[in-house]
Amino acid sequence: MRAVANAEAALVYSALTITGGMIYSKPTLNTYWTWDAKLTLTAIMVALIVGYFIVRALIDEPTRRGRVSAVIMLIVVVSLPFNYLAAEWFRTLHPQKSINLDGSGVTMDPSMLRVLLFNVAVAGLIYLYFVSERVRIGLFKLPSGAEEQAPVSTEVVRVG
Amino acid sequence: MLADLTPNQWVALAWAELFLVYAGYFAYLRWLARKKAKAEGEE
Repeated sequence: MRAVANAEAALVYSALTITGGMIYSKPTLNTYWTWDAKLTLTAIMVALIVGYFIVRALIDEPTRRGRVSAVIMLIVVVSLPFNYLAAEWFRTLHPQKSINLDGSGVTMDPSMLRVLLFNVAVAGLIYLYFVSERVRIGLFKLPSGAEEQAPVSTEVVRVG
Repeated sequence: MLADLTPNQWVALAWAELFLVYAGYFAYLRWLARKKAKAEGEE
């Protein structure tokens, strides 16, 4: 249930990333979308997360469903460092990082950095709320001892 | 049409998108909770 809850929240935040990035990109870079490495990797990641829910809807047998969907999510997680570094490796339209973890510092105005950190903290708290609420609802729904055949994930896929 | 937006309107659009996605998922969670409570009540 925790895996499904986190996957749902990941899909929500990925959708925010893609659409928010497009809204940012049009007035600043004069295009909504370009197939550069970072954007393409992000699009593939979103497609994989959607595929995760499709797989969970298609496979009825709980053990196999769990195994296959875990492999898909593992691929998503493995792709994250590549996504993070893609803007450095492939210098195309996407801007480089403003906060470098390699010790080269922050190339962002301090007032923007404060706002960014505040927003990251709030987004993190909302993420935790979404996941905990989804887990609570999921567990709440399950009849006692029926976790193995729980239809929760199937229903999640249909809606999400 | 969107290309004519002012910078402030772009910011407003971004906030609206953020709010809509969050509100959409929150509404989905509420709907799921109601549906499950109803299902449990019928058992």
